[in-house]
Formats: sequence, structure tokens, C-alpha cells
Amino acid sequence: MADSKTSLPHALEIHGSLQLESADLDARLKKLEASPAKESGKSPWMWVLDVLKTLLPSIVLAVLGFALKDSVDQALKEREIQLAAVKEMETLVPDLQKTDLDRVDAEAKAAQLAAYGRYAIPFFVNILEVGNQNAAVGAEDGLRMVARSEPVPVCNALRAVIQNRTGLYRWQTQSSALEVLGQAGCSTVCRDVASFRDGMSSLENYQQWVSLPPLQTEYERVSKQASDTFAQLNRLKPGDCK
Amino acid sequence: MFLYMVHSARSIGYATVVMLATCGMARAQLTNCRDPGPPEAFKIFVDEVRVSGGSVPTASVQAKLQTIHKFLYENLRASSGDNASVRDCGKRYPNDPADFDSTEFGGLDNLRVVLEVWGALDNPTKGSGTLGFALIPAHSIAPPAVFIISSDNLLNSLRQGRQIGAFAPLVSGISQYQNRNYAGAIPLLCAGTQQLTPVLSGQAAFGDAAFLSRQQALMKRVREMTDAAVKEARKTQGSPFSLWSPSSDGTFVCPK
Repeated sequence: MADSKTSLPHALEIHGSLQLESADLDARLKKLEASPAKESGKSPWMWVLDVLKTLLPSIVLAVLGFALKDSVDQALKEREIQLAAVKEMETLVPDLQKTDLDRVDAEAKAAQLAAYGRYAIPFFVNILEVGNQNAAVGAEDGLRMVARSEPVPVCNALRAVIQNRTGLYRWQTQSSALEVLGQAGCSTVCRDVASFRDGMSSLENYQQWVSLPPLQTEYERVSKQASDTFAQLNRLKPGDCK
Repeated sequence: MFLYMVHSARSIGYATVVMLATCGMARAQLTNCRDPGPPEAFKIFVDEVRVSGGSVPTASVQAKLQTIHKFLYENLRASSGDNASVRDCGKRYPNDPADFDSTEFGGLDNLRVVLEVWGALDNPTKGSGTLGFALIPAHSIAPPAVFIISSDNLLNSLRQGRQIGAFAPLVSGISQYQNRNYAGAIPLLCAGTQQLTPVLSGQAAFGDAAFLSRQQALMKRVREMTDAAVKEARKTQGSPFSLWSPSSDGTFVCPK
């Protein structure tokens, strides 16, 4: 009895660990464990769509690349043709410039050059600018010939001639350009022709536009040509030129 | 490939045009002038002097042709003075006055050529022949403005005086008038009229009615031009032409 009274209380030893689990985390884990089962139920169309989604940028890129390659190829081919034409024309251009050439021969040479179509236009414009008497007649004829089959590039090239105000061209070249623009029916340039006609308001003013200052009679000739060309173009599309 | 096909088709088309153009039209034989001179100057083109009929000249005839050409060149240089630069155009030669069509006149006008001259020796022994003159500024006022002057002896005519060169001051005067340099035009118009009148009246003796009519038309226009030039020049204060008196009909004529 005395033993029981005097005996010390026993220490209680507890082994283990305290684990706190979040209910939310548990729920997410369970959901993840369950997900493969759910995925296995997806339809084949969804798979196709998924694959397409992944491949779409590559397909678009491939189509664009193909299209670009095609146009680049075409541009390269065009450039090759142009270079070949220029090489062939190189032999004809000096012939057109020969001093002993009469007008008929000059016109025949110009017709040969005109066979190269729009590629011959820069040559013709240059001959108008620096060529001799018969070559200039031939060049004007050549431009008319090209304009019959390809009017747009002729109109654009000659538009640049009459738009220039910095002395790049002589008055003779601008006069010839105006004449061909009218004959070729370049109605898209009628406003440029009107601007040219109105802008060259006096001899002094026009002398600043061209390389060789024209005389009064020459100025009057260009001015008359500008008015005639405008009238020609205005007949094609009345009202549009105003 | 398509481009090549289009290109070849077009080439064939143009080749046909070239062939048709070459075969079908009358040939204008005027080649370019060998030495057209500076673009800013007024010019007189002196073409070749040839034997009529296109026969090949002997050495002595060739020498004669060259002498005529030289005299013609020198005559024109003396009569044009500083008003125009005389250019030797080498082999350039019109086969027919009709070679001077509107395209040719336009091309020469663009080059500021005022006069073109050529010669033909009809009889190398006698020396008779013709001289041709194309008056470029006169084409717009009295077309066709091409004159052929006959001579019994070309070389003598050229040696004797400056009458053959009378067209030079006349065309320079017309050009000055057209460019509104009235005071500068009057002396040239008067000199041209005075020198040309005996030449033209001499030609009238050859009995060419068409020539006479063209000559009269030109001289009438020149007289009108002189009158108008004097009236314009008189508007300038201190002008020497204000001392001129009009004739009975109110027009101004060159002093005799």
C-alpha cells in the first residue's frame, strides 16, 4: 500500500507525427488521379483538331513560302528575259545612232528594237534625248509601236519625262513625249499633261525645267503640243481630265 | 515560257511591219549631218555637191565639185556672219526637193538649222548646174520653202559675189523675228531682201512659173514681217527705227 502511495507517476511517451492536410490539395490530387480516365473518353475529331491546331502555323508558312517562291521565281525569270533582251538590243542601239543612216533605215532599226516591247522603252527615251536627227525620228516611231501592244509602260515612262522639272531632259524630248502620250491615248496622264501645260506659263519659267533653254518659238511649240495632247486625251474621257 | 511565246509572236509581227515599211514606202535619202554642231547655235547645213544623174565623177570633175562646195561654204560663212554656224554635212544630199517634208523640217527646226544648201552640177564641162536651198524658218509662213536656183556657171556665180548667200541673212532675220527679237531682225530681213531680189528676178528669166509664184509669196511675207518688226521695234524708247517714216500706205519698208 505504502508502495503505491510513494511511487512516482510514470512518464507517458507518445511516438508519431502530426500531419496537417489541406482539404483543397487533397481534392486537386484526387482530381488529377481521376483525369486519365476522363481523357480516354475524348472523340477522334478532337484529336484531329488538336493535331491541326499544332500544324496550322507550319501549313500557313508552307503555303506562303510556296506562293512567295513562285512570285520570286517569276520575277527572276522576268529579270533574266530583260537582261537577255538588253544584251540583244545592245547591238541594235549603236546601229540606230549611225550618222550615215537615212530616215527609212532609222525607222526600220527602231522597229527591230520595238520588238523587245517594254524593255526597249528606256533606249528610245535616251535616243530622243541624245540621238541624232534620224535616230530621234526612229525613237519616236519605236515608242508608238510599243504603245500599240503595251501602252501602260510607255505611258508611265513618258509620264516621268513630262513630270521632270529639274533639267534632266531637253525641250525636244518633252515635246516628243507629249506627242506620243496623246497618240497612245494615255488617259491616265491627262492630269499630268494639264499640270505641265499650266505650269509652263512663261518662257522664263519653262527655261528652268529643261537642260537646253528653249527660244520663244520652241517654247511656243512645246506649249502648243501640251494643249493638243490635253485635247486629245480629253476626247477619250471627257470630264475626267478636269 | 508564256512570256517567251508572247515575245516571239510579237517579234514576228514587228518583223512583218519592218518588211512592209521597208518595201512599201518611198525612200527618203537624207542621212544625218556628219557634223551638226553645238545644239544651242543657229546653223546652216552645207550638203554635198554632186553630178546630176548620179554618174561617178572623174578626178577632175571631183575636184571641180569640191571647189564648188568650198566656195559655197565660204560664201555662206561670209554672209551669215555671227548669226549662224556653217556646218559641212559630208555625204548628206537630198535626191529630191520632196525629201524636205514636214518631218524633215521639224527635225531640222529641233536642231536650230535655219538653212540647208546643196548643189548639183548638170554639165561638168560648161559648169552649169543648180543650187538648192531649204529655208527652215520660212516653212511655216511660205511652204514648201525649198528653192532651186539655176546657173549657167555655178563656180562663176559663186566667185562673183555674195548673191547666192543672200538666203542666209533672210532666214536669220525670219528666225529673229519669230523669236521676237525685232530690232535684230530688221537689218537681216532688209539685207536678205536686197541681196535676194536680183537672184530671184534672174531666175524668173528661166520661165519657171511655180518658182516665180513661190518666190512672190515668200517675198510678200518677208515684206509684211519687216513692216511688223519695225512697228514693234519702234515701241522701244530710243529705238533707231523711230526715225523711219512709213510709206504712203502706212507700212514700213527697208531703205533703198
